[in-house]
Amino acid sequence: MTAAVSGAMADRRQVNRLGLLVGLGGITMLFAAFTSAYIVRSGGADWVALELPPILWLNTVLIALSSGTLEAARRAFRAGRLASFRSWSAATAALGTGFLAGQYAGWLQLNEAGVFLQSHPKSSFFFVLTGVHGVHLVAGVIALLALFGLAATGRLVPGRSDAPALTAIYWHFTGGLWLYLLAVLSLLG
Amino acid sequence: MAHAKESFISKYIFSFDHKMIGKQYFTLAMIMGFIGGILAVLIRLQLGFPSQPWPFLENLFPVGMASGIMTPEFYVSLFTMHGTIMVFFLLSLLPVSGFGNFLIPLQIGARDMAFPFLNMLSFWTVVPGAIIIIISFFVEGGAAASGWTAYPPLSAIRSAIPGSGAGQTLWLVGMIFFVASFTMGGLNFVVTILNLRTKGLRLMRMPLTTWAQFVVGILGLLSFPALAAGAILLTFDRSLGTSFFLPAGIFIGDTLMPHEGGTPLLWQHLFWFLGHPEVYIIMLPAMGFTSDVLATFCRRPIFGYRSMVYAIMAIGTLSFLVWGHHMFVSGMSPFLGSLFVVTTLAIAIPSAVKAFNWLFTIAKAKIRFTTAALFALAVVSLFVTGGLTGIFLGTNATDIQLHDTYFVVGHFHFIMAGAGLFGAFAAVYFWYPKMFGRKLNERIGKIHFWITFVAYYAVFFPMHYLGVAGMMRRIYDPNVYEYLQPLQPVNLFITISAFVLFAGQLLFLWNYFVSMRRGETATGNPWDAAGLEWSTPAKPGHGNWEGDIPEVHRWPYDYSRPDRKRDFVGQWES
Amino acid sequence: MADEPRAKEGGFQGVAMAISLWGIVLLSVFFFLRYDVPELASDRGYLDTLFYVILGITGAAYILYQVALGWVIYRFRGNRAGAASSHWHESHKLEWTWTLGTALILVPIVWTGLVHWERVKAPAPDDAVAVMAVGAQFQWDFQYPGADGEFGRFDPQLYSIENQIGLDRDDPAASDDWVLTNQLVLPVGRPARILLRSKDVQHAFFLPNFRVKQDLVPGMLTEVVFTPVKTGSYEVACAELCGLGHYRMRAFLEVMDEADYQAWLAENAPGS
Repeated sequence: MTAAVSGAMADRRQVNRLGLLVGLGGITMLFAAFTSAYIVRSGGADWVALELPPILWLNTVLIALSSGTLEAARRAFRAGRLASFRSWSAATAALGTGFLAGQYAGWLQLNEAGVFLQSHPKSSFFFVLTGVHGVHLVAGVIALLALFGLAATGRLVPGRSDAPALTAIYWHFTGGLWLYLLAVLSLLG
Repeated sequence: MAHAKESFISKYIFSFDHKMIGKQYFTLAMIMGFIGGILAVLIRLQLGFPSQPWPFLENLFPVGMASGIMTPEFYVSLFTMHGTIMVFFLLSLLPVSGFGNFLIPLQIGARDMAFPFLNMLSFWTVVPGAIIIIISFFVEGGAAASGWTAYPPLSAIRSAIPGSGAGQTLWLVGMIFFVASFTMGGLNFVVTILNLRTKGLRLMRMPLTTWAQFVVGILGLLSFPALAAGAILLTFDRSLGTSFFLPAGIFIGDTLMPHEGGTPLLWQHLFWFLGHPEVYIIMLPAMGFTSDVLATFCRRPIFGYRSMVYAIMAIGTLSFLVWGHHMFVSGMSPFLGSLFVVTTLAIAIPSAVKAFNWLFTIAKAKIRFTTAALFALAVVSLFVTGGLTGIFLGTNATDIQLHDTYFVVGHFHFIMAGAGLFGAFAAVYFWYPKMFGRKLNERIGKIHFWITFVAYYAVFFPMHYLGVAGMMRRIYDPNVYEYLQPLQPVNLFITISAFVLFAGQLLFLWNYFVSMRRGETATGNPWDAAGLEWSTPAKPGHGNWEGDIPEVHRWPYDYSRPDRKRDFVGQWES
Repeated sequence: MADEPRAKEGGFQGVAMAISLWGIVLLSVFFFLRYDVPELASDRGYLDTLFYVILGITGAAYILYQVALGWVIYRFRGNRAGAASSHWHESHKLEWTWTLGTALILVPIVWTGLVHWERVKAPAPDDAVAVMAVGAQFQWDFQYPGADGEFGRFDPQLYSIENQIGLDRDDPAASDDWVLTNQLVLPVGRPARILLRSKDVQHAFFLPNFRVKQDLVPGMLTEVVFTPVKTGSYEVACAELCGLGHYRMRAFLEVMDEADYQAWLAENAPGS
């Protein structure tokens, strides 16, 4: 149905990619707003440093690996190797879930150390930023599972379907976003 | 395009058709606008007749007007929700979400928006937001009561004011829904305009309405996330004991609050980073409508098309650099204040360009005074009046005295609300035939116009006198202050004019809904307009054009060409 | 495309629009002349001057533009004899004229505004009379520092009915501090430095007759500096929404000449 109503010059692939990029622009602004709030607030007298839970580094490795596995999935898809695509995207989803579980473990580690959401401004920002980022990653995992399902039922056609490439862009973006947040949390304040 | 069997639900409720979604937005915005108008009438009732009992109103508002006298709680909720509803749910939804969706594909030669499903989703995301905003009146403590700007600590601490309990929570939830819907819409606008233009429609051949919607889409995408971030942080402060905006030592109701070290000004920065672009999100489409309507009924090309486009871009860009002019007396660094003066007054330049271009479009015209044309002419007048008063407020030195007085209220009701509302009216009268295949009744339309135009000036111009004389905004009873007591006749005059203004809008609602079935049937191009949208059938179906989408050969303002006999050449004509 | 409806549409409406625009200009200016800023009682008359200058410039622009708009609407209404519209739609010369013209008019306004802003924000001279205004829902407490000229420290833990501003009496600087509720007294002709802090939500310290307005932000200390130039009693208002009683958060400012002020101090300040 959507194909039928697109305009004369429409190239669906181009439209979808632009839509995704524009949407990522909006998400970027959300985190830019959080960052500026973070910077302003870090000038406050009650700002205390926060020992980041060590598991974050493991999580970072996981999400970096997941970008690699997703690239492998995308290549496999482009080459028409659907079985391989399925396994690589499942691996990516698993790594992503692992990251989310790791983030949750990080929260628990903080709690055990007596640091809670409302303890001090940096801990508040830590929970808000990781939480909002986690929500975006959950969306990515759902997209990956959907891809897996589509591939399993034969509804993804190499050379025609652009969904794997779009998902990959989004996934890399959330990965990059995590690196950015990690840099903010460990370097600023 | 055979869309043989469309069920009622897929056609009228979960429709993917941009035109139906546009109309859904219209209906929602009109309901919300009607409610917002009633709130305004109640506000004026209190200011015109402070604390006078109106026993019959007790039946309608048993809590807010117990024994017929308005309580301060109710009054504060009224202006808070009036602002929220009008700014977001009328003046953003109607011109942007409503007309943007309805017009963009028609004006650029597309069958639909780029993402029809997202479009449908975006409408059904804002509906719960609107419902939540309305039901917030009925929770304990009443609706939010910290102004539409929701400055903490007032908005953050439940005991600070009754509305900061459940009412404020619902306000925040409603706004999150709105932001989600509006950013989805903005995404759709930008992608559609960039990618789906028909053959021959270069960017510099787009109607100014589409140009405005394009810039508005970008503004929405870049600015609303700041409000979302602020709303998330405020929710945490309210409910989870964090201290983003709340400093130590707050003492309310004999209780010392446990917060530490937050800064209320941070909220103001986040809020106005959205809030100021939001003003232009409301105004730019109105400017676009005005240009399109004026060109059509002046039978003249819009004057200075290129400079109009550059002005829209300049206003859009500058709108991100001026938010601090809302904070001159907030305690923000004086140096920053000075920077914001420069950027703010710079906006006067593209605004003046628009005003003069309109004046020169009208000059050497052969004006047809349809209702749409009258409303567009009124926009020009309101825009100049409101723009000029902005110079007092944008200059920090003169803002000191006028800040938070009725001068500000008068100013933004001209420039933002006035131009936005009149622009939307011009657009409705102009594009109604494309929406419903019938015209609005012109006779009722003209009565509506004259009541609205005259009453609008009568309501909002005297507010400048009040502001100059020092009357603060948001006060329940100005007569508490001796120096404000002599102003009561002005307040009474404004109140009576406001009643007339509101009554005039009932005419419009009647016209709008009755004309859908009874209006004079219109042809595909009833105004002899040159824009591409007028090449569609009288009431275009799903897909807009029955055959191929026409190719565009020219700009949309080709009126009165000396080399043609007919006084317009459609964009679709070679 | 028939000419007949066009003629009808051009009839009465164009004339009415022109007349109503001119009428609005006339009435709005006429009534504007009947309302003025509150009587000036401080040294900030230069802000009034700037206000009137901007009023002159924008007022002239308002009158000229609206009258011109009315005129073109009247002159180019569709039903006039020999009406014809022109295709002319561009003139770089004109467009540059009003772009640069507007910019040129704005430059002196911005410049003067910024110079005045510096003056308003200039730090207080040493001989200024310092008072700390404490805003709370819904009253103003004015803390006088006493003979030592220093404000005693406050502690939010100490807020109570008896000690509204939470003054810490253990602080030596606090020993001679004293507090007036909803009443501020200042001597005429001497710069006043009012420090502002809030106990709860935001308020704004607004002296309509003195061209003074400044927000009180919890967690921050803000201040205003001005010189009263006229004796008398004036109203102090809250100009930032602060709750249900916002509209009645009112205080009084009494400006006395120096002799009366000293006498008043001697009578009211504790220990003197």
